[in-house]
Amino acid sequence: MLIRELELHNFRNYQEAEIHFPAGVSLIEGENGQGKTNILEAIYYLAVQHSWRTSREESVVRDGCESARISALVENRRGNQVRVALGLGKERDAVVNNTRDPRRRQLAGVVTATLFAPEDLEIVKGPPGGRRDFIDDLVVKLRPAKAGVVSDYARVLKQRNGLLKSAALTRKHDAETLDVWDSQLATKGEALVAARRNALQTAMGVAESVYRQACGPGIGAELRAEYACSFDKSGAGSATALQEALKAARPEELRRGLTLAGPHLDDIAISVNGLDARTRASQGEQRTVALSLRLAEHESVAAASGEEGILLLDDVFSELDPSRSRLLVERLASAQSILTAAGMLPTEIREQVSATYSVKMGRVEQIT
Amino acid sequence: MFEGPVQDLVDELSKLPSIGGKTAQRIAFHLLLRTSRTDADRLAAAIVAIKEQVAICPRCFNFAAGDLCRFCSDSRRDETVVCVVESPPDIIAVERTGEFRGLYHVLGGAISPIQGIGPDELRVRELLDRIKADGIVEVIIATNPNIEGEATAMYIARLIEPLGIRVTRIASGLPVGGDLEYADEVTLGRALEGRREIHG
Repeated sequence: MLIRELELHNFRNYQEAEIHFPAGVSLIEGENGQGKTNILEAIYYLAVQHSWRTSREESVVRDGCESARISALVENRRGNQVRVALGLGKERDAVVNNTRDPRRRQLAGVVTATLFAPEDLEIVKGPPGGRRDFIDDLVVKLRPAKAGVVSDYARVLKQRNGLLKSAALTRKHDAETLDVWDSQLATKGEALVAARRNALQTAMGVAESVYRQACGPGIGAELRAEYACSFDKSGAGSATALQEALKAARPEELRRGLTLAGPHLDDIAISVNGLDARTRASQGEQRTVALSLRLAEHESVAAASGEEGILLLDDVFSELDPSRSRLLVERLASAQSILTAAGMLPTEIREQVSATYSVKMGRVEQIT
Repeated sequence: MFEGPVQDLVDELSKLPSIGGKTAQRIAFHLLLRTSRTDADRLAAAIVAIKEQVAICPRCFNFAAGDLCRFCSDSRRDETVVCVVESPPDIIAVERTGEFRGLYHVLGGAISPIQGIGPDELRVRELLDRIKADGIVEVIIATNPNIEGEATAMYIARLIEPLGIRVTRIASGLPVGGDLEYADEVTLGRALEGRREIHG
């Protein structure tokens, strides 16, 4: 999939902007606060209809305006072009070719994109929740039919926590009802662990090779990610193991009013050359790992769906040394990637770029 | 605020589910200005009648216009099979199939701890009493195919199984007559999981 044209109207700091993108690598340059990331955000909006930067949609509408509009011309791998538009703020709608609908659902799957943002460092460095979100998201992207596995578990967990909470407050509980929720949590939990393992396995093959490539030849660069099941030491994450863990945890659960065993407490243990990436890797290594995971997501989703999305890389070079940056850009050559950078990039990177844009105070100008 | 009686009606209407202040006003004005006296009387009478004449069937907890509901009082129905549903509208849905000739049991909801609904808030005890007293041989659990409905089904099944009675759960899957291409991924995924052998 390629994005050919992007038009912004009252989006963030852009009053009007029109940008044409070629296939290959596009580079958006500019100083901080000029609006580089806003361009990536607009494309991301078309893909998933929300932003990673804010949950308040009004904040993407330009100050003093009521509505914003993002329009684009995209092209699938067969060369067929589709015009899409998304209205934000007061005039909410979604347009695909000439069909306008207030509901945004029709945009789903028309534009696909993978985003790498500086915040992704948290996947490697942050608490386990970020890694669980990453893998659950990947489960759904790789196998949309598994969306129910993720949402069912969340629902059972919410209900079971509700039951435990009232038991903790009233100091009495119905053991039979709790048994039923244990059993539901165990079945749904087993399915969730299996789906996460499957997604992790699919992505890690790619992630390991991206990491090795980004580090360059001759350097030991072994990236590993193991699913760390919290309730089953054998690692299988079976329903039986979860049932037993819940049985053991029950007195404590009833006291605290919270589910204390299950895949909602699992983690992914990421290591570089055998050392824990969270605590023992440098910031640059951590960033390369995070980027490898995103690129693995991108490539494995492309392989599963048969259509490669647009790769959006926000401020990716800021903590990478020039050689890693160059190796990274080489890896991107196949698809369409749109990158932002705050400073001037080394010549060997610029040589790989198909188009360069300069952004200054909400104005975009194509330089090459 | 409107004139006394108008405001009274607006206030009463806005107590109804999914009717807010604006809608209540619109309905009140419609009744005041555009509804004939006859129609207004019929509406008022219908509301009074459901409160006066409609009771809850003491056996299955469906709505009943007499002592028992129309299924429980129909001698042609098979009294040995009971279909357990969450609410009376579910009975209408099962009846439309014309395939079920047994009796019903309305639970009055599904187990949902976050809403404070446990087995004691549902008519589970009454179901067990019926099974023990009425010579029932099969219980079909037709609660909704969501997490709460599944948990309720499992809870009931666990209670009934020791009694040596057949317990079945309705299958979930694709809507018939629809196009496969329009099915959502989750439904289609479940339908694939629950696939069956076909014999030619």
